[in-house]
Amino acid sequence: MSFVSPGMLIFISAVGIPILIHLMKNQKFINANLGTNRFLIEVLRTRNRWRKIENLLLFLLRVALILLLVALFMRPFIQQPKKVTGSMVVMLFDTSGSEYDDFYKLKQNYRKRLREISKQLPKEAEIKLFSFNNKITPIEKADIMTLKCTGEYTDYKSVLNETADFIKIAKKESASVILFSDLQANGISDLEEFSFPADIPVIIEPSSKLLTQNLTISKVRNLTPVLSSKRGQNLYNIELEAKLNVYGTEQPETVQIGYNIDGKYNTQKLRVENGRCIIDAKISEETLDKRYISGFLHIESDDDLKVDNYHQFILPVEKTGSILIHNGQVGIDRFEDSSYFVEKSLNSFKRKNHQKWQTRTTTKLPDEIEADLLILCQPQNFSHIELSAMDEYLNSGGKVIIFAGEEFTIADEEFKTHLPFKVEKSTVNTPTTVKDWDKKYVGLKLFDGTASGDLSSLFVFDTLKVEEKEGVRKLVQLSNGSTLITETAVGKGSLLFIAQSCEKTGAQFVTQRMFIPLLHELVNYKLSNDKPKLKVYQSDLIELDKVRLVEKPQFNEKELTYTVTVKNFNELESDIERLSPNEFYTALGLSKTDLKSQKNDMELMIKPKDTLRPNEIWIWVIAALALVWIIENMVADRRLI
Amino acid sequence: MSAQIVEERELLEIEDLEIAAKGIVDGFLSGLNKSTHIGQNAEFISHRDYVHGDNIRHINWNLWARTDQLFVKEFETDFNHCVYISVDSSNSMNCANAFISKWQFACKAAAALSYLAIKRNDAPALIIENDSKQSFIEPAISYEQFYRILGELSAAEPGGAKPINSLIQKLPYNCRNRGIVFVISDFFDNEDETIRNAANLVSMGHEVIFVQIFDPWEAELTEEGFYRFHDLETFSTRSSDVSAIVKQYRDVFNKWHEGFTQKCSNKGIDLISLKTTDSLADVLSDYLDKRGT
Repeated sequence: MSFVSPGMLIFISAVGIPILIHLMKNQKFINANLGTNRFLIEVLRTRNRWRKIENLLLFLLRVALILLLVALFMRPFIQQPKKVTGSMVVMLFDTSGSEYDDFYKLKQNYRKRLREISKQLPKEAEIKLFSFNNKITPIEKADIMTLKCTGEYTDYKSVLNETADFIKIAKKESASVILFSDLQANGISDLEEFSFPADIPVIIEPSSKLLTQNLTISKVRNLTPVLSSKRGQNLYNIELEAKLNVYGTEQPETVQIGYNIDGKYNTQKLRVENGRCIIDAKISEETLDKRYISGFLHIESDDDLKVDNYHQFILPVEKTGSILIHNGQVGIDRFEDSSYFVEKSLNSFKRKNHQKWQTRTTTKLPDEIEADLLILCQPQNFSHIELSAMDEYLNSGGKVIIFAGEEFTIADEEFKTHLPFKVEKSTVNTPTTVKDWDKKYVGLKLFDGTASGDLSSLFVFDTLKVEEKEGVRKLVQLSNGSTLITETAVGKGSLLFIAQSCEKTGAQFVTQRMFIPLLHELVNYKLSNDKPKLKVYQSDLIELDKVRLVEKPQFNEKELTYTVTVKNFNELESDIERLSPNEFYTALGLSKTDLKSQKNDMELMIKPKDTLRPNEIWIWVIAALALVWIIENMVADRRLI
Repeated sequence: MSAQIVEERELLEIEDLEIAAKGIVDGFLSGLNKSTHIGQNAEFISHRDYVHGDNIRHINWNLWARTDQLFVKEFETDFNHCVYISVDSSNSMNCANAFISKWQFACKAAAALSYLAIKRNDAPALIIENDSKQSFIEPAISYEQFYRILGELSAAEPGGAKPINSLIQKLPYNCRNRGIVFVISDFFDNEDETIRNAANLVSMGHEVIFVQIFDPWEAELTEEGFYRFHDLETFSTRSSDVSAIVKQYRDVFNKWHEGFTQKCSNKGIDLISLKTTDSLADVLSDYLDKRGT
């Protein structure tokens, strides 16, 4: 059982109130004389025994009431165990050195869980077993109890990659991995981040000694690039929140922490607050590429506390995306390629806001475009196959950005007819700057209105004129009245059209300092998860399997939101878990027609924990108080009889 | 001082035993609505023939003159009763949850009985016994006797845990003449033994009257409150929330008291139970009843 609000535990000190009342009540006696106590003794012989029990019960009841109230406000819930599904289940048993103690019990647990999981799975599902430390070793079911603790260190990345390869070779449609481990010496406190490799669902089942190390890196925050380099690499500032668990001695106020990241040893004297301290560190781009950090942490305090820990932890990657850049105008050298500046701009700062973009450049569109975003730089001549591939890509929800300058007018006519609007040479070809932009455009929040950091400082000329028709949304308008950037929905996908060339010549659009942030914002806008949010209204407790749609989602063009009324859902009170669009629609009971009618993917949905809501808590509180009142009155009445 | 204008409670509160006793008795007697005059102790019953040896002073000469025969007058002679007053002076008599203690109440009862006895030409006697002191004042008819008794009562102090049984056990040796035996105590001892010993007195021809004195709290406790009760004789203590036990306590006490009353009645012993807040009139009137006045 876990608690939603464990902080409420502090109110457990209120238990002292009934204890105090109980003790104080027992002390207030007035002295009196009697000629004999014989009658009193006779009465108390029977009465006092029950009276003591009664007092004790009353006392326990009062204490229990306080505990119940505290427990209710802590909102307990039972975490439903994740269901293991798939045609193949790979079970990995940790045999590293940290599991040495009680390994026999652990093996019994492994065997028990194997039986339970086998029962859950369909008959045709295949179970593969491996022991692991820094590599995986296949074992048979019968071998579980003969497993031996190897004493080796653990390398989860290597283990999971090997497992991924195994699953790939096995060619199973769906597979899941269950990892039995104590997670020692890795510093991962947030298990959800432990989804490596990302396309394989990994369920971690803690062994008995989960997270018992004395120092863990619990959070990585404020990942910001530093515009300096080390051996030609950009450095990034990170804040590592270290959680210090000290047993058997008092928590030190300050600690001297030494850490070894990127092969360089640094020390910092840090203040410990609530068992946590923040390490300011710098990591290289190369380390960042690995998406995890290995480090050696050494803690020393004035209180003779010495802790050494080896840590690995995965950086939280917020957004990922693969970008295919089509080079429509190949120059004599690389520098003259139309895609050169676009690719360079994306790669130079590709991890701004901690984004992970993988870029590929091509001069010919593949038959089947597999990318999260397609950028066409100076599109000119496409084959029929390329055009149909692009059509298919767009219709199936693909996102395309087109940089098209004056040269676009000489592009082949067939391509032009594929665009949902007409494009022609602008009649106003004087150099101009940006006049206005759609403030609802998510990316424009970057621009702060200052002359140096404003989109209006962007200088363009020789733009193209985009036909103004329904469905073509202006994002950025120029001072001369023409439009620089428009967005149009095509099929399920969308097209962002930039009426300016991305080559070096011309207005030198791509070499201006505002181009890079603009490009980043555009790419971020297209790849971002900040999609129109669903406004969801709630009336009562939700059960996912019983959720039903009250009315169909309505798209609000002004607010860019979908409004869905779902019975029994409270966004504030629920623990939201994102579902895929399909899962969302399935949960809402929408048909495929409904799904098609929507303009964008929606991904917000809930999976409530089995927990008590505040409105339920009050029912229990009132019930508990009523119970105490009744019992107290019963006792009081009996006294008077 | 008239009992009509002074409440008995106020008399009981007076420390001077003489004033209190006289006040109580005078008040009691005036309350009987009878003359307080004490006349001849002899009352004419009948005549009989003169026989040789009769005192010639008792010959009715008027009747001789009319009948010429000698008749002697017969009178009912007034018997002088011995009133033995024994007072329990164990420590339990110190209990005082009302305005006076049980001991003070017992002393006033003893003094009033003595005074009334003397006024009725009876001979009061006093027996007091505890761990440290044993005193016996022989019966006598005089006002000096009354003052002797008062002196003894004033000098005595309750103490120890000597049971009332031992006092009653010795009474046959002290009460040699037939009379009325008052035993003033709370009788919180072994009641069977107490009654068995008292029955010996009854068999000797004594009129035995138990004057049982309670402190109001002993009989009824109080209504509520958290109290630690000290037993004055055994010094044991018991603590309790009174409101939780008061009813049960009263039941137990009443049951015991009813049993004690029944046992006394079976053995021909009169039992007068009084709380220290009650009037002494019952005691005095019972005395007069027994005396046949």
